[in-house]
Amino acid sequence: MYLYVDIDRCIYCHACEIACERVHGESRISLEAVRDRACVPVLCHHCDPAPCAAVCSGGALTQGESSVIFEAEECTRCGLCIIACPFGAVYLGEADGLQKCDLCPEMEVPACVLTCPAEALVWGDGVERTGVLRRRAAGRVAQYYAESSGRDRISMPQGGAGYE
Amino acid sequence: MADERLVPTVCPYCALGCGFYIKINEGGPMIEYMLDHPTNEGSLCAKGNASMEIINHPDRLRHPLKKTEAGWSRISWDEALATVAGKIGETVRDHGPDALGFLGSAKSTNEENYLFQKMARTLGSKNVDCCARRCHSPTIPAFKRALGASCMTNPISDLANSDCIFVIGSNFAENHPIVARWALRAKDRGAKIVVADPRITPTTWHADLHLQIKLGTDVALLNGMMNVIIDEGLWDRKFVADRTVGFEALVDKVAGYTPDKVSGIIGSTPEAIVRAARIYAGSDSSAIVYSMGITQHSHGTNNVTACADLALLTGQLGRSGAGLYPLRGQNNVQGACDMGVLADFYPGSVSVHDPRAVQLIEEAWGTGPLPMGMGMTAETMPVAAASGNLRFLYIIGEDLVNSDSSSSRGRRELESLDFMVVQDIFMTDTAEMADLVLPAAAWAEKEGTFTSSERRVQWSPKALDPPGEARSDLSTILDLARLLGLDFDYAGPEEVLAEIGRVVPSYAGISMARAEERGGVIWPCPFQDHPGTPILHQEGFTAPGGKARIVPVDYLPPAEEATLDYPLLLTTGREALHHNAGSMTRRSFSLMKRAPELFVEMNPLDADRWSIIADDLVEVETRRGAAWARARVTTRQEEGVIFMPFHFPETNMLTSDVIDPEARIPEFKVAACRIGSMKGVI
Amino acid sequence: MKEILIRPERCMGCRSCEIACAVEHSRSKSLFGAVAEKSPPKKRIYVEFVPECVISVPMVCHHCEDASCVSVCPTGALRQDGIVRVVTHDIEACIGCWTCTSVCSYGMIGRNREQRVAIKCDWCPDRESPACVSACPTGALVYKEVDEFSGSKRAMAALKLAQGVTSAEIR
Repeated sequence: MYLYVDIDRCIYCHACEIACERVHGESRISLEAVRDRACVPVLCHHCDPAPCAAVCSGGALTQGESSVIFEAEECTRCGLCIIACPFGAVYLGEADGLQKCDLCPEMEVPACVLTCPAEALVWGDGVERTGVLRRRAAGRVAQYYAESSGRDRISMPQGGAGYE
Repeated sequence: MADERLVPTVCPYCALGCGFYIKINEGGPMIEYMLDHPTNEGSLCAKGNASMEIINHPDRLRHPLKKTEAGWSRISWDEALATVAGKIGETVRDHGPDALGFLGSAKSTNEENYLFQKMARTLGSKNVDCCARRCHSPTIPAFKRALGASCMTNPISDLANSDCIFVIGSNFAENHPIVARWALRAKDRGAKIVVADPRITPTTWHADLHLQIKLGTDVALLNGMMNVIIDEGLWDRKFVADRTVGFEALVDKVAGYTPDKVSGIIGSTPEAIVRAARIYAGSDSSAIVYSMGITQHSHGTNNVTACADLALLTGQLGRSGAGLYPLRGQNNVQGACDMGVLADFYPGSVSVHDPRAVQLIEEAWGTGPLPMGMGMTAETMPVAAASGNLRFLYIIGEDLVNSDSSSSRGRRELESLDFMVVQDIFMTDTAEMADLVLPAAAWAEKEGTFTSSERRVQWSPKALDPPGEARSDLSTILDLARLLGLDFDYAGPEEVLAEIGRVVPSYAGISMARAEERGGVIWPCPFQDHPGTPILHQEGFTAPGGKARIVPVDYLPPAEEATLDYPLLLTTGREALHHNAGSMTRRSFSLMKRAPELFVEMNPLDADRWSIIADDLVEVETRRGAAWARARVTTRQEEGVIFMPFHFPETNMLTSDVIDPEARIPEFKVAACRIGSMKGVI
Repeated sequence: MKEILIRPERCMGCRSCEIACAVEHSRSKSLFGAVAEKSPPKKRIYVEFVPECVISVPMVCHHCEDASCVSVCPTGALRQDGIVRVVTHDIEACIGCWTCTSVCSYGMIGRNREQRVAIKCDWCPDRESPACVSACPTGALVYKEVDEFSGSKRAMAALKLAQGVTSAEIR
């Protein structure tokens, strides 16, 4: 399972940050507003092969099945991972040493995903995720053609399940 | 695990009524998401996630405190309640019951609010009010007149079924983030989002069309849209003919509001006005979402009326996906209004001017004649205190001095009270001014029902014990009422809810058991097995004759305009990380870390002109006072407008005290001001 | 320069394009060979059926001008040719961070689970015309220059207009 960001949906409400801080004591996700016109939640992408794990000499960062695992006891605080991460998603926290998203292993779904009001953070496998984006784009095209040929749209059931 | 249990609860912050669980185990209370809640589906905003930080906060009030010359001294509950009862008795004896003032709390349960106003009115005082005065008081008379029911018409999740969401004066992405969940789902289905807002906000990021209107020009825009709709024949003829009255007068009124003329007033292009009108009227189901950008004006009632007119004209009511969505601010502000904690309404929206309806309440309560006529409002109580008409004030859970407009004046005026008692969970600035402070239980430390903005009545059980000697407002009110010799004999909130059902018809079918179900009951629920009414006005309107009333209104400019002395306009609003006067969120560590201080947002052009650079401390001055704030230079505002959030005490020292003549809400949203280096130049 | 353009009104949802795409990107480049391959080949074109509108839409990578996937790629694995606009993907440089997936609003960047890298349309560099276009039986996919495509649409519109005028004259 993977955690994806749908940047189009982010509403800059900080819910993910506070939820992450609540669970981990320090937030491992941060919202970056871009010129007051958009906002991007930045967090570990759990790359594969991950640059941070590749440079880690102490074995604290390792490539897991579908995540990059951090073990604090092994960390030597050399800081190479911080330099290697292209997203700035690995960093030294204020109190607790190295901070990196661990996808909340004790929960079924990470806290930030559950709390995100706008569904900008999505938990799923990658294929499913691209499918959502694709269906949304296809929906826009289809709707245009449906409308231009006079066919009525079928309204959604209560609760608005979207295309998902 | 020794003792772990999950207790469902209702979020204590805004009025959306989101549910979550409190997980209680040895490590202290934790939040657990409630994935099957109909409003939020488990998601929570930043404040909701931080709500547990309030529960165990070291600042919590733990004991009754009495002000002495040496500072606060701890007293017993018996002494505290005897003092309050004694003061009430003295005041009634010396000055009559109208010298008593009661300010209820939109954070207390329905049961507590109901008993609070019952106590006040049984004592003979008509001065009962709550903070709804400062957020949605214009919605109440305007909707009551137009539709017959003063509340949100559809549930929030129903926004997902809209084809057009017209947002005016609301930044729901930051302030009611759960609304964005449903609005974005509608957008996934191809709905259009149209936003009218003087600022660029995260809500406008998601808009298909953003009308960046000038402050306080909402009626002009709405009338302009109605002009286009009538002109182009986009109105719903059948709906208007069958279900409304007053259409002809509207046609006359809006005839003058041509897009060209309106464009000159609001500062958007005529094309944008026409497009907004076409999208709204042309969509199958369109919803209007509004909030304090509409209500907090000296003509707030007109603003709300114009919104209702637009919905009535196009028949966008009484169906799934359509409707009017006044987004309310406090977790139980709808409930407090339903319970009659308002100077102009008894429980069940019974007007204080309606002798027959009040008589029914007299019979239900078994009391003598109840006071009639409009009482003092939250805004006029301080004024009456200064003039000596108000001697005693009892405030529950409300930071009056920080949430009142032009607050330094209010602060001075409250000092002339003979006696003030404040019941709260924290020592707020208002409590600091009191003679006696009573510690209260927070939401999760007591039980009772809360009514959300979408009229959802939910039972929130007790999850934790209050700290120290703090007690629920209910038990405090009951004990006090007994000392005052009132016949308040209730075993608990369940019995109070049963009485509410007898007095308020729309709550008649709501029992504790039903409110305890997931998602509670949406009122009106007039009898026991009634399923609740998520969508109002499906059949007819509760207004006289079963028809809605279209009331044409004229555009009036805001009370203050930019002048040579005060060349800028100050508007206020919220930010994502704080809540209202901030007495809770400003004590929340994780929120304060991210939003630590008051800021003022200004356009780079204005910043240049007054030689201000980002992060400067800037002095903002209006006719009523001055305050310092950290500058944020951003194009979120147009030139000439600056923005400050009202979560910090300083902001409301600046705001205007001009009030709406009908709803008596102050114009928080527009105040002429000057900044920084301006001072001393002129 | 030619590109893949779609005509959704012609799409029957037969998914011939998907099969052709997968086969073209297999090692053997034949249907039977592809099926037998150890790691089954992956398609890079997707036919999406939209039930609300009862329409199928073939979704292709548009190789956008100033493509967002290219601009977010932290390692330069995604690269865009300055002249022919084609966005290519270097498997060796890919770190599987899926940022490209997040930003592509058409959802056109898929994942290859075995190789743990992103996969996307490459306009079939070994072929004259992309496999999907050649396979499409109804002409819902065309490989043309945009000018030529819009020109043919103009011609169709002109034809309809002309037919209208002539029938009006007859009347």
